[in-house]
Amino acid sequence: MKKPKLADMTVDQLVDRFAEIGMAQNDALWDGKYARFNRLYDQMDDVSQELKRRGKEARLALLRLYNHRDIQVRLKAAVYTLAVAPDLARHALQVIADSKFYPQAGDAGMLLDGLDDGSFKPE
Amino acid sequence: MTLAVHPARSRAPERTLVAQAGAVWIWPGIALTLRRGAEILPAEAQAIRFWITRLHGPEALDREILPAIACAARCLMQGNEPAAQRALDALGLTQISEDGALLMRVVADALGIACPDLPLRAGPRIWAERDIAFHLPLFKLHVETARALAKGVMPFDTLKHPHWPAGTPERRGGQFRPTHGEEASVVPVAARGSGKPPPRRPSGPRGKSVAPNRSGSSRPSQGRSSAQEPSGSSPDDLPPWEVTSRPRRATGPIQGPRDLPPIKVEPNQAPGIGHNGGPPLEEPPEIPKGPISIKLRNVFVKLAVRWLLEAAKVSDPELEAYLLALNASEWAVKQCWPYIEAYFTRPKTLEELQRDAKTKLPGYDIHHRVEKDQARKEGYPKSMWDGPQNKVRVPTLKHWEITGWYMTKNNKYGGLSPRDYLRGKSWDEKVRVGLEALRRFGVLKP
Repeated sequence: MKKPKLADMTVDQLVDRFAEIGMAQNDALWDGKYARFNRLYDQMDDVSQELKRRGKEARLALLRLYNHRDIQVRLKAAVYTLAVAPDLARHALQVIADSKFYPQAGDAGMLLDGLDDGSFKPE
Repeated sequence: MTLAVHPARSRAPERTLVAQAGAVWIWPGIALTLRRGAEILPAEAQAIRFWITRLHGPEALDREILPAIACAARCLMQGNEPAAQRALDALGLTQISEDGALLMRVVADALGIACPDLPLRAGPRIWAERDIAFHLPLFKLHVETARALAKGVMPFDTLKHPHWPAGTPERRGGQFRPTHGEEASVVPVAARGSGKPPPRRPSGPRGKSVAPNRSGSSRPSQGRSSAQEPSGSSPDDLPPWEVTSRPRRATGPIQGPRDLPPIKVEPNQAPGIGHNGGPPLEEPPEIPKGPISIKLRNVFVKLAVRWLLEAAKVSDPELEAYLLALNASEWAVKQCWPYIEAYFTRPKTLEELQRDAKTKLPGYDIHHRVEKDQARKEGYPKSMWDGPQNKVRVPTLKHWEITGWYMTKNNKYGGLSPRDYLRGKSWDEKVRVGLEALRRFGVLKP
């Protein structure tokens, strides 16, 4: 069955799609399939852009993924909510950075460094 | 020292090693031999040493343990069980260490089995409460596996596990009635599939296991031996150790020897991930039993590291059990352990990492903190990208993670991968990102 266009999906469906992509990203990292990860990165970015287009409330819907069982999904949910829930998102990143579960812990730490030195400005 | 006496202790067999039903066992039912087709082979040397020293202390290593087990295995292959038993007895492991005695008591109570009535060898106590607690699940795991496998030839039925008739004065809640010769017992795994049940020992009244010794002596031969091939056949028809049908708990705290506090081990109650409502700890990856390809090794070490990280979050006793099992596997030690061990090494200073890079070590890779291919293509001199300043020795698995991070798109760099972001950037910026990555991936000390 053909997947619906992002523009036709509800916010909940978009959030679910975001989580699916995040899990697939984790699999790709685990398998060392970095080209696949990069394609999935673009797909996730598309979902995020669609949520952004629908406003702050839609973006905040990603907060429900902070408790997702997959650490990559939690990481990306935190990253993509930094602009709308900075304190919560930053705390979530710190938890991941402290978890020692790499590579997500390393990535979260690098993002925090970027926030601190101003080189990373979430939109 | 005070060791509470187990109810069945005085009636227990007085050995810790037995040859029975095609295998060598150590109390309370852990196989020290393996069956491969028609062959009976000793288990891994580390595993044999490990189990024996748990009960008999490190002094047992002075004995010719491995040749004795090998000799017993050969005898068993020839169908000469009595000779195998004599090879084991000739080791002279007639005393247990003080730590071993306490461990035995805890294991026996947890499993509802009897302790061999062996004398203690006076010596220093080395283990604390946590050491005993740590060993308990190892013993339980092995014995329960043996029990489970034993059901293949000894179905759990009412003939072997009868109930007490109503109103019987001796009736004991939660326990089966004895069958005078038909109690459930640890059935050697090796008997499984042989198509015949293991030999049974005659048994006395309830709880009294009679370990007949046709020579009339219940003691194994004393003294050391180089485990020479025994001859003749005057068998000690020693069966497996008695196992009651249901584990018993100690009625009170177990008094530790000397000045150590009482031990309160509560098996199966260690905290786990599930205790906080989280997902249960998954099964650990299977430890390789023989040589494996590099590809499989890589998968295994990644899985093992991930599982260990999960287990470490809850300090689950399974974690230490798994580490021990890893170290008891010759192939895991040779092929996989260096990678796993390296992953968990503490972060080091840049100077240490650079100094380490002068020496190769299994489990580690040489990493260029500024990616050498990019630097070379951008015209930086070799002395910069291949010089000692740029090289650090990092755990192989960390190296994979850092390399993966460099190659994948990242929000921090506007959707570029760090590698693409650094293309054309200054040397200093490349160094800065490289060091930051080392630090954030737990290799470089903050």
